Amino acid sequence: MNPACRLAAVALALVGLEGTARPQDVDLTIPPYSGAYEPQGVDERGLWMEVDEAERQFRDSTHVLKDERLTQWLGEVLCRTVGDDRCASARIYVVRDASFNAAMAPNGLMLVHTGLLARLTSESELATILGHEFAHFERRHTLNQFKKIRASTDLMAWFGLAGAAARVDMTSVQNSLIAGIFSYSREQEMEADKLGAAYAKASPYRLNASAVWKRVIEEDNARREARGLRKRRHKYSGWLDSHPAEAERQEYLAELEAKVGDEGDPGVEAYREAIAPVLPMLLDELLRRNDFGGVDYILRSRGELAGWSGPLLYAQGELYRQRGNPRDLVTAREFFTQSMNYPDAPAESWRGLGLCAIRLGDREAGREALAEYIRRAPDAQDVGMMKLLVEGTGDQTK
Amino acid sequence: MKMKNHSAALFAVLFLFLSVLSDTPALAQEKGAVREGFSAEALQGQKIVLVRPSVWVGEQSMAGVPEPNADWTAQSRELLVAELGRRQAQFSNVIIAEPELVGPEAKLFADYRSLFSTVARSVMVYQFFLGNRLPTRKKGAFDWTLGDGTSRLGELTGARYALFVTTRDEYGSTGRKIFQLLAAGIAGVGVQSGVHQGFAGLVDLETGYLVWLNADGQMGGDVRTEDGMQKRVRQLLEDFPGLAEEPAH
Repeated sequence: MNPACRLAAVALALVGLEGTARPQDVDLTIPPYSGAYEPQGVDERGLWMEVDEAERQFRDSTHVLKDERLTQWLGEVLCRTVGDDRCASARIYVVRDASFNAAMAPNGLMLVHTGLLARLTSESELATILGHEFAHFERRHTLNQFKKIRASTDLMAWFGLAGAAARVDMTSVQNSLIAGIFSYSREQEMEADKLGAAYAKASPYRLNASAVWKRVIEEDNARREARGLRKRRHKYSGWLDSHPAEAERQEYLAELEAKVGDEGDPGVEAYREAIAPVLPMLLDELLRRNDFGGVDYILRSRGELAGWSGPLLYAQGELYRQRGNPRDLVTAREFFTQSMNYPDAPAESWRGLGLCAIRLGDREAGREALAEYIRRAPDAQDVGMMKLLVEGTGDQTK
Repeated sequence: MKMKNHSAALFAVLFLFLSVLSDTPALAQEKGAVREGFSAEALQGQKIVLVRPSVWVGEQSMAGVPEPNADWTAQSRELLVAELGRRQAQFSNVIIAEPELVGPEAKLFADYRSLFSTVARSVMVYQFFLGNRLPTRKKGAFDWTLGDGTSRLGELTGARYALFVTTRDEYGSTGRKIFQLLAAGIAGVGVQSGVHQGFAGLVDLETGYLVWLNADGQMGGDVRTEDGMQKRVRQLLEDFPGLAEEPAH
């Protein structure tokens, strides 16, 4: 074995291509909790210092949704999931971001995107996600990842230097080290999925995680189809993926669910009630995404799983009205009309109906609906413009 | 779900490339500017609110990964605030700390911190860096503002000016220094050990004008010691009207 090959062998051993346990072998007991935790050692204290400082700035940021009731409810779901002793370490911030995401910092700062709340349909789904994020905190994943990155890049630097000295190309060894960083990240995600499942098993909630990933895949497919793009493969992780592939997660989480059984509270009703006051805002954020296929999927799946409501049908109508093909206006009109059958129908449904009707040549019905909109929302910003349409002076279809 | 890992891992991949790139000296980089018409007299005896300084002190791993150090950072923050107070007092200004606010006022402060940071970076990129100067800055006028909404900050704090200070220090670890020597010796590649950056700016809260800004990508002074911090603050306050010369001490 020449020196370069020996070096390569050492590097691969250090990277560690260790396999991961199959779901059926996974131990779903929760490790004992050490109680309130203070960071230990230079690295961990440094990382906490960094995020503590960031949190000082972040807590007052415009991006954070200041809704005490909502934040408190998220805290309660977390506490029911991971237990009252553990949950006290986390501080939840709702971030105004329509993407499907949540994150955890090493000091207990937890971010929940509004886009996540818009896509979930039950407290049990929320529980597995909050549990997953909390597992990152409990397992000190940021610290471990930091150490992994430092060690791997140190090695990469040495190999680069040794290669330069020996006039040997070290690219493949260095690539293995890079791959090692990402595979480590995927392993941590898998570990967090499993510990998250263990929390859910011990909680009053049903373990309900795989359905979320199924919908993430279907949403992506719907978006791509509407945009005329080729579907992405969700089955396998690439070497630069920080997370396991969605289908992979769906599969092993479904296996865990089968193992755990379906006792426990799905929490659909409780979720609907908690989310109702902010649902119009969450849906409005989705409508601004210029993502017809994806948002259409989210709204439909939400209606089928958690029940239709006035705001949801209004959002469906608005999605079509905003795309604005003549056939879309017919569809939109139908959705607006349906939404009016619900007691929580927003005033904007009448506006939508009115605008569609006028556009479709049914001026009388349109003016009537707009007049009803003005009656229901006399202080809305666009009332002046709608009045013009009712009076006929602003009618462009003449 | 995603966590911060994702970007961290990507950073790791970029580090080796960046550690070479960052060696490029910033050619023809200006370091500071004062708004026309702003003078030492305008400042005399005024109250200045010191916005919580952004301080980061740590090490640089062998491959260049920044390693935050909580003790050094805390120490440095204390020294910085004390030294800024001492220097301004010599000039009969009063430095007050940013008040602990909650609710809409806290958000207002947070908004202006972000805005200052954005404007200051724009100045560094589009004005101080000559090769990249915007056509609108060709004549070199230092004319930047956060908007007169800053007067609300003045009402909240009772201050006329706001002082923003940012420092970032990555000390080369022993491994980094050895690597630097070997890289130069074996491969003939220049590797930078250590990062020492800082910038400071003063905003007139009545008008919102950025009246003074100083930015330096290669600062001196060991910010973990009192002497070093005196040197650092002296550099940060370079060109600060009326503060350039310090009486011997």
